[in-house]
Amino acid sequence: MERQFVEAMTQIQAEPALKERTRQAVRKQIGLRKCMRPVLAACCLLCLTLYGSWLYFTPTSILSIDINPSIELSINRFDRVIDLKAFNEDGEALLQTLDVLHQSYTSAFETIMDSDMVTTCLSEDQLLSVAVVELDDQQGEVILDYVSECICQHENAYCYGITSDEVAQAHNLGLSYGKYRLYLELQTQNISISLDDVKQMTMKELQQLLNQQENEAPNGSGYQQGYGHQHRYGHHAE
Amino acid sequence: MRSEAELERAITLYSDTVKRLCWIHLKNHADTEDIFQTVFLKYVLHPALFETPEHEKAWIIRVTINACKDLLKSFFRRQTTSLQDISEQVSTTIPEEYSELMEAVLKLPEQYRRVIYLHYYEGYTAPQIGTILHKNVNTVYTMLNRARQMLKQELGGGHSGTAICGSHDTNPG
Repeated sequence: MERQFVEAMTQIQAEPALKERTRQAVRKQIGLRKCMRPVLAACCLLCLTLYGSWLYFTPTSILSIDINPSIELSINRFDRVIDLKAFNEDGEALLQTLDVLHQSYTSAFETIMDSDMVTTCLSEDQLLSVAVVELDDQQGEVILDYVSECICQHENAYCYGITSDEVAQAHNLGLSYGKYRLYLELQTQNISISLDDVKQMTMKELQQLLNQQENEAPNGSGYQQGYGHQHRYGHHAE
Repeated sequence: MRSEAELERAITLYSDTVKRLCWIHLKNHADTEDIFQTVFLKYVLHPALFETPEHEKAWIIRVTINACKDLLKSFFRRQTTSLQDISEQVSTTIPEEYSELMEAVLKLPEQYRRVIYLHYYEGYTAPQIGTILHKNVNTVYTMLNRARQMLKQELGGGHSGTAICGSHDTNPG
């Protein structure tokens, strides 16, 4: 019976037509896969490019520098400056002289601090305020430490860290984050001042206004003592 | 990816084996065609080299059995095979002189048909079948013995020659 089984099974053979159809079907599938390969590669490349662009062009911290020029530097997770914004005419004039886009924030900050406009302002005893707005992860702490170290030689300079929630309305009002923070302080002290005035005034003038009000108040503590301490993290150059 | 020549060689060498495995698992010609395309496409796309021709053949058998099993497992295929279906399948492909034996083979449970084919037609030993099917050797021996008993019962012992129903490859343990 084993012989019969073998003989019977031997009768079962693949027809030439079936083989031919298989050949054609497999060739077609391989052809499709070959065609799809560059398409898939292009899709992967596109996805990688989009993801890489998103990673690079998403700001994770903002450096708001106010002295009289009010400017902001958007910094990405790779510590690169990806955007620059001016919030007054002096700020625009300062940005015209800078070429810091896509540089590291350390290099950009040094360039700004060494610029003629900022050194002139500092020599005129203007007040320099640097706000580090943390949008994502722990980068803000590192930037704040760096800025604090850089400005410690200037007596009339201070820096502090804030979260984006605290200053969410700043740009809607056309103010830099640093100036908006001071504007909120003025409002807290019931000082009536228009937005346009805030935009025009220097940081020193605004700070003097605030100090004046605080000194007049019965328990006024003065800005040097009270500023920054209300925030999540803060450093003072003095 | 394998070349066109390798595909041609595989089709020439293994088409009949694939067809026979399809025959013992399926009864639909369209399904057989699907299995052919699946098996040979997998062969072309299989990246590893085969150590020996025997290794290659065992791979083809394994892939074909798996493809048949997958097809049978699918929701739309879950249906019992009637005796009439078996008779039709045998009568359309097998000469009449073998029909009684082959109908008896097709009436066996699927896994028994598989081991009977691999042992008696392909000539694999129980340990080799165990390797191909990823089964314990003793399980293969048990399946072979039960398949033989069932065939003996089905054929009523009146069939000429008893090798397939005898126990010439019984469990040595």
